[in-house]
Amino acid sequence: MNKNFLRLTFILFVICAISTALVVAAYDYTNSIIADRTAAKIAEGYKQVLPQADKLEKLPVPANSPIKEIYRSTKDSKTNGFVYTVAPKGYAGEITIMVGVENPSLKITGVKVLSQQETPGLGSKCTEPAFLDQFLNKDLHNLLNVSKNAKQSSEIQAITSSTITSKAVVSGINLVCTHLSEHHPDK
Amino acid sequence: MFSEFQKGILKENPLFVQVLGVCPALATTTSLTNALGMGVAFSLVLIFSNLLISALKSFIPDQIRIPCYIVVIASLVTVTEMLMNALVPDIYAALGIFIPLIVVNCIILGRAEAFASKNGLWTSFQDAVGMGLGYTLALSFVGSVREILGAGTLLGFPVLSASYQPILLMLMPPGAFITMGFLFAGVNYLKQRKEVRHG
Repeated sequence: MNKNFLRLTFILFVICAISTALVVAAYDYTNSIIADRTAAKIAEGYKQVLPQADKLEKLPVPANSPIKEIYRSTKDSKTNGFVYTVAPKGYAGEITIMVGVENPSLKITGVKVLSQQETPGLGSKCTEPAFLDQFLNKDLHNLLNVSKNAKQSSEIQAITSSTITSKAVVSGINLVCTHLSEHHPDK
Repeated sequence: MFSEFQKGILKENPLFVQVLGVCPALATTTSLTNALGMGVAFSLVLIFSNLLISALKSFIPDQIRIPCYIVVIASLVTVTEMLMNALVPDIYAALGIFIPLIVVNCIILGRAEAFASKNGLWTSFQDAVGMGLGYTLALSFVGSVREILGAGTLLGFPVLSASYQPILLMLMPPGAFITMGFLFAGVNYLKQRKEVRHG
């Protein structure tokens, strides 16, 4: 082995070692700051659908279900609500919805559409308050259904010409209703 | 004592005289805040890079100098990126991919090769501060023009009357090219006039 070659390799090694040490030190310092901030941002998102959200605890999701995420919110050791993320199949793809439900009244405190690919101008109206505000304060002890002329409190007015999208959103929320009745009998 | 500091600001300005680092200049000057963020991040990397390479110049043999410089610069940019993400997340999000792209900004490797590898710590430091300041000033100029004409604001504060219709094109790539074009034309004109007077 050429002595010069060994020398060059050693020098390269030292440079890389020092550089790596520098990067690791910076990572140690910044990692917790970045993680805290990401967690705070996520918690803020949940508060939009469940304003009384305090301590969030992740719950296990059922397998092979459109329910993607379940969080239980506790305040002063009492469960005060749940946040569900559910993604039912809409007209053109999955509609990801976040629902906040108060405990023990099981009234909906907020609904947010996180992503959808429905027809612009028609199904895409499922993200608008005109449609979503209907869900507020609905009692999730009972299933909801879509109607062209919603009169009862368990009925949701469909979006004109977007029955499939409307039904998809309601089906997602009904999945939450069913899951609640099966898993949280302490209403 | 401060001789190496001046040249980076006007006479050998990295952007409009050496025509280096043009790509990030086009992309990150959509507002004065972004331009300043980029300029400061760049300057920090350049200063530490020049200092480290000058300190290591007798340790690093000529044959492997390029890989060594690149490792040093890449590590510095990685550290800068992490610090920006942790301490100034809004600017970090606004600058996006152009922070890691500081690694391939020709100015940094250029100054390492042309100056820091052949000069002492103090002069290398001055060179870096001068070049960094010059680049930041150039970026800020472009950023200000684009923000004022394209959004009617400066640093986010409205500076033109509410009736001003912003020229949105200024915030898009064509606006960047147009502004830079005028900037280069202006600098060349001033240089020619100076030569005529002194020639």
